[in-house]
Amino acid sequence: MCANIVYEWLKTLQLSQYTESFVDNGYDDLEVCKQIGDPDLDAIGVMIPQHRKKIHDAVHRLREEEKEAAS
Amino acid sequence: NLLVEHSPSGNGAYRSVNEWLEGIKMARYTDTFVENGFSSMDAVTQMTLDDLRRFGVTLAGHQKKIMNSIQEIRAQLLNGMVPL
Repeated sequence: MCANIVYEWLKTLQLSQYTESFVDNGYDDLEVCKQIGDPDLDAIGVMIPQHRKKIHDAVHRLREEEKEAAS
Repeated sequence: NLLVEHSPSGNGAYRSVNEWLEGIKMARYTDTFVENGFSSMDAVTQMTLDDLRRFGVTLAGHQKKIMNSIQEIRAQLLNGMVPL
């Protein structure tokens, strides 16, 4: 059930339609999702600008949470 | 005999680098692997994350997927499940 964490994350962004593509490209946990940038979204096939922005913002939040947890 | 030819694990007995990469949906890297000397499954099992980075597999998800698969293949080899 560990692939579902990415599904849950994408669902909160209302972008769960990309789950399969995320997992197929190896983005199957939040640790690896924290490293997502434009080239990753190109490979996954997220082409709609609003969707890309939503994911960029969410990745930024994941990184912030990590920083807070570390401090 | 079809029954005998079935691989015991179902996913480890890749005969070529191309077949393996297609199996994990990373076939876009077949040429890259072959050009860099990883043209057999034997060579692939020796591959490291640094090798991947060096020849331009830069996406974190793809690195993860390829390295996970290599580790599975190594484990199956150690367990004697798949002859290379």
